[in-house]
Amino acid sequence: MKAIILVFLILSLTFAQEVQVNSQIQKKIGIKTIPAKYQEVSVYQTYPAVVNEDPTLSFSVSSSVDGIVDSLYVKQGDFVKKGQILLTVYSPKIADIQANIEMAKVKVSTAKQVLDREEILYKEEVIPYVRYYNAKIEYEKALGELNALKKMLNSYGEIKGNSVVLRSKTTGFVADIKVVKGSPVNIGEQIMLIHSHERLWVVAQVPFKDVERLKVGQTVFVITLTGKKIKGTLSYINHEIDPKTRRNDVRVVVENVGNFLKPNLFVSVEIPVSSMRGLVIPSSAVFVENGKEFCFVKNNDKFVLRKIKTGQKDEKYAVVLSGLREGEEVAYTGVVFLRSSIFGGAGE
Amino acid sequence: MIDFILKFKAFVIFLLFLTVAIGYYSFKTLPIDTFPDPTPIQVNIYTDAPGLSAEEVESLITKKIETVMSGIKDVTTVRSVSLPGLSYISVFFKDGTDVYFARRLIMEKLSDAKAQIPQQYNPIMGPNSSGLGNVLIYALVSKNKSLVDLRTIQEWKIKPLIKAVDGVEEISQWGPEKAFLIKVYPDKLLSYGLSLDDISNAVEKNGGVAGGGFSKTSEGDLIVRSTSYITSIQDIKNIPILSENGYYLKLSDVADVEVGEIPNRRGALTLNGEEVQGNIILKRVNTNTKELVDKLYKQFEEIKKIIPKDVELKILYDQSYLTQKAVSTVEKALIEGIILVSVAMVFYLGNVRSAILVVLSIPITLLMAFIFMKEVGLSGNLMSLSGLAIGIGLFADATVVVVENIFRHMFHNQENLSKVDIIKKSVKEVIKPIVFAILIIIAVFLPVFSFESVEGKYYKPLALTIIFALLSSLIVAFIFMPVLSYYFLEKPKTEETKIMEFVNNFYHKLLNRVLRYGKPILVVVVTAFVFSIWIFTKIGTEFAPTLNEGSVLVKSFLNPNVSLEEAKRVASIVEQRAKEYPEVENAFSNIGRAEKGEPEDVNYIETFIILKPYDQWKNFKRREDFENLLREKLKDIPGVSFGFTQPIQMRIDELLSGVKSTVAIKVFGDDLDKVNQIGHKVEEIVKSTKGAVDVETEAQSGKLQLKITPKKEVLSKYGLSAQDILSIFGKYFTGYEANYLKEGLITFPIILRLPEDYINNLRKIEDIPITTKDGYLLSLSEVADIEITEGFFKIRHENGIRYALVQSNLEGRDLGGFINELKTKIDKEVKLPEGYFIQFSGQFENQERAMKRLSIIVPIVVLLIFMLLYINYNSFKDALIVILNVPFATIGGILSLYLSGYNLSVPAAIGFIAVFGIATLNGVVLISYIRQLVLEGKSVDDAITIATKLRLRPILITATAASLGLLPILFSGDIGSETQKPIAIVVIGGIFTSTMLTLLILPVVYRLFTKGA
Repeated sequence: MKAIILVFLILSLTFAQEVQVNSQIQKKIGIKTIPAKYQEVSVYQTYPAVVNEDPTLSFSVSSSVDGIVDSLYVKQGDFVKKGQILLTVYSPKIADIQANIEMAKVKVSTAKQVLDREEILYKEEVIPYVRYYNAKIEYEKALGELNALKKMLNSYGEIKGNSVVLRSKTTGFVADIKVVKGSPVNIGEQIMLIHSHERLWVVAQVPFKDVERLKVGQTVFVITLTGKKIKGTLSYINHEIDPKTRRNDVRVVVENVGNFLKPNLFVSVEIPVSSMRGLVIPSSAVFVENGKEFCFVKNNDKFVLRKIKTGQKDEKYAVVLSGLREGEEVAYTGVVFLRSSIFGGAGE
Repeated sequence: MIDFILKFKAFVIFLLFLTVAIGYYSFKTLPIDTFPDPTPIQVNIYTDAPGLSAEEVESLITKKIETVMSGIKDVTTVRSVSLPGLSYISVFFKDGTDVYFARRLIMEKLSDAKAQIPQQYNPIMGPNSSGLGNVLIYALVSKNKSLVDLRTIQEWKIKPLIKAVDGVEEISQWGPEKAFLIKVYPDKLLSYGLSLDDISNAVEKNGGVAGGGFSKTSEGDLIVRSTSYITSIQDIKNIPILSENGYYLKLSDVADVEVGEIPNRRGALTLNGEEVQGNIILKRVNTNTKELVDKLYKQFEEIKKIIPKDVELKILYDQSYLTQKAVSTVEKALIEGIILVSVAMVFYLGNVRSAILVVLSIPITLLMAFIFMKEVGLSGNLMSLSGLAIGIGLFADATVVVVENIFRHMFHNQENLSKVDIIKKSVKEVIKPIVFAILIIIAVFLPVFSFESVEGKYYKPLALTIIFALLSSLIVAFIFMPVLSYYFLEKPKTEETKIMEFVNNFYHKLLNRVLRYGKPILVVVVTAFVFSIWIFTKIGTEFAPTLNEGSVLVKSFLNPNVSLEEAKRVASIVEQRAKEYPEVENAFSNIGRAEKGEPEDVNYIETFIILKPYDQWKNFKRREDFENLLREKLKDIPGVSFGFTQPIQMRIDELLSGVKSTVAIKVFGDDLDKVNQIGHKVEEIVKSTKGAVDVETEAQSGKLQLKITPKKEVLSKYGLSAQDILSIFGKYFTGYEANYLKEGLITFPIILRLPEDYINNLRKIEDIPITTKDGYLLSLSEVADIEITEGFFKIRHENGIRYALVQSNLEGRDLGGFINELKTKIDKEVKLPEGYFIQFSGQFENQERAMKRLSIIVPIVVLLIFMLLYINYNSFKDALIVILNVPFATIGGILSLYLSGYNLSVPAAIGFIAVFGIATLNGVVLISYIRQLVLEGKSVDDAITIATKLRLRPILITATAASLGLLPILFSGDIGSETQKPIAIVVIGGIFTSTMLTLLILPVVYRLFTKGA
């Protein structure tokens, strides 16, 4: 039975290989054509994703001494520049050190005076060298003590008066402040968090079957809710599948120019999952009849049926391996009309 | 009796006025219709099954219902069509079954059937309307309003008003229905860990109303009601779907909410290239079309007042226009007939007074016939009124003879009788032969009542009205005319007009010659008869000539895989091309199906092309020419085949065979592939046969399907059931009504669905997330096989057997010959496997059945005439001589039919029946008189001379009257005349030869017979 159908088909093919359609009708029933072109086309697929902070761009602000918040220059959400003063912390320890420094300074100057006197006396050979030597040691000791104290103070960072000045180490946002004026702070405790959103991570959940086509370093696009398209780089493919979603997390690093992205925002990521190179035509131009692939090639007012063979093919494009030359125009919409005019009245 | 009548002359006159008054009233109030509704009693059953393929619809629904229905009493045929998403079954009942009874029977069985099909599908009975129920099509057009808004106006403002009109069964509405669409993005759900069912639950539970009974408080007795209607799009957007710590996620966070149309529309109506909101009003069975349409027009005036100013209600088509035209055609023919007959009367009688009486008798007879029609409930339609138009010359016959006899006796009043006595004498003289003659004509029409089916429905009314009118003419002639003659007629000065004298002289010279060469002339006549029989075999056959409806219907068949948008493009081209002709008034198309209607899909378009009146046609003269022009013009649209017909014709064709073409060839068998394949072979044969146009094998296969088959083993691994997967498609793909939005009195559905870019994208379909009970997430492609396959598009059954369909229209050829050629060709070239068979249906079935019946009826008619003659004369010989008129008439009838190019059809056959009666009448008039003279002792030759002299006038009068009455029909080109023309042609031709031969040959034969005896 199949054979008979085939015979019919072959008969009909030998008789009607082309369809004449004038341009007016073409327009009216919506037949559009496009020339076949050697090119590379990428096929993009979008996946749901969420924006995360780049942890390498986050800074925690903490005090180097125990103390009390003296003054607070920023509030939550403020934009801060690198080096901007955030807050000062008053510390009795610093005050202690400052006092000791004062003491040490006095000691140094006293020792200096003693040393100067003893030096004159020694030069005039009033006193023996040992005494002069002792005075010199005393002075250097005092100096050393002062320096040690100063170093100690410096180790607490920038100091202003009895307070430690805390400056932002990066440009970003004040994400979190845990203190108010007068709050006690302990050493090692996070006082505030500064984030930089100059660069963000976008984590997409990609079905495993699509992951194998991805490459780290590949350029991808992040599409925001408002439709903004932002360039990013695929930086990491998780080594594990999320057990709940059965999907693979894929990280994209995005330079947040224009500040369109924010952490925890749901976005989509457009990833070129495949790219094809060759003689490309829209896949809607190709149709299958009895297991063979065909398309219609425009020749003035005529559409000629052409048997072709395609290689890679997806939703949008198909690569023609044989049967078509570059520059030939193929019909890619309204093909159904051409098709049924060759393969039987209304269908079949 | 005549004594009695002449005694109470005043009373008779009063009766006459009464008759005229009642007759006029009956005429004015007579229900008017185009033609008798020929459609059989049928009940349709629709079952919507969105998303099911044709194969599934067939096996799960159609087959089950069909089996139950075929067991019902008086069911003749069960036809069905299974389409993707729709099962349509027509159950046909025996003629004469009460349609309400039939519907009740179906109703009873429907619950049986329902128990056997999957419970979510609900079979419903179609509207109680016949195939000709599409009485009026109108559209709403507006520059500013969207189609959705127009549909809402139609649905909520106009529909209730139209349905209130008595006789409206249903309105089939086209155009998009307003709905609020929730397009849920599965991606977004994924982010929040929600499933589609969570959303549907949320939407279902938010909004509605609950009654709480009554509460007796100090305020009084209160009705408790709790309402939480969704009343705006904002309400929908704000539906909470997930709440945590007092925050909640709104529906609009995961879905687009918008105003749109109910998805999966499978039809549209376009007018002059643009889509409009169209509506078809279906009338209830047995409702008079004209009356209903008149009522509707009145109602439209009211409706126009309440619809917004910028909305225009356009009436595109109304079936009654044909009624008006057809009826006015007949009326015109009647009036012209009366005038022509009147002129002839004056000419023959030469006496104005008697002529006036004769002429007067015709309208009185007609009015009386209307009284009869009204009493038996016969509507005034093309067929019943044709009966009057055709018989118009006959109705004067009785009066002519009566008045002429009175007239003659007044002139020859030798015994000086009083006026009353003259009338009495004259009437008594002719009463027997006249009653007998009229009875003969009535008798010949009686067998017509044995017609069945369509031909019965068409031609019984015709026969009935003729009989009514003939009976009325007897009453007029014997009750009213004697009295009127008494008041009106005076003794004439001359008996014969000059012209009559001349004619008489000429005739007798001719007759004498003929009598001299009796035998050779007889041989010539016999040869002529044999020759005409030979010609008869050359005449083509058909059921009935096609009625011109003044509009053309173009059917476009597209590939089953086209979309509605593509179909709209084609419709618009067809409409625009048609509109290029100035003769085209309007062109509009319906594509696919409305909510209740045709079992068609978007690949089928019907374009109505309404033509301007006939006299404004310039580029073409005949409808067929226009069709050819258009067919040529549409040739360059690739991939579309066209068929041409007319709106009503198509409906009738469809009801006869289930197919919308004249010829349907059905290939029955089990294997759909095989029957289709044979169908294609048959198509080739039909195409190669002369006369075939618009040949088309219906596309039954080749519909592409997206087939999703759940993988059972994967599902069981995750604890999912197949139903979980299927419901995604059943619910969220097709879109399901989760709730409704209330806007005042109007409610709109809220439909939950996946967004289009999911539904129309294979990759996205693969990625549709499926959540398991444990909260795992899978994609569809992991749990189901997704593939594109080719499936069936339309599966037809007749009495439970599958069939493929080849359809064709016919041009320039007779149906009978065409079918015969096809039959022999197919027999020779197509070898059918066992269990497969081919059936021809369509108009051809009618023709075959009617012709078979006629082949019995006609001999019976002749026999009947012979019997009556024999009873009358009590002489085998005389009866035989008179019946010679039948072959005489046949010669003329056949020749005129052949020369006019008309086919032998049922109306032509009826023409033959009529002319047999009329011709016999002539013979009776002549032979009776000769017999009488011979009995009085005159020699045969003398008797012949006297009889031919005296009877020439009445014979000529009846013959001319009968033919002249038909003349207007013959030359009319108006709508409706085509069905009467064959009758007119046959009758005129038959009367011509039979009259000539009666006057010339009958005397010869009579002489031969008597001399020989």
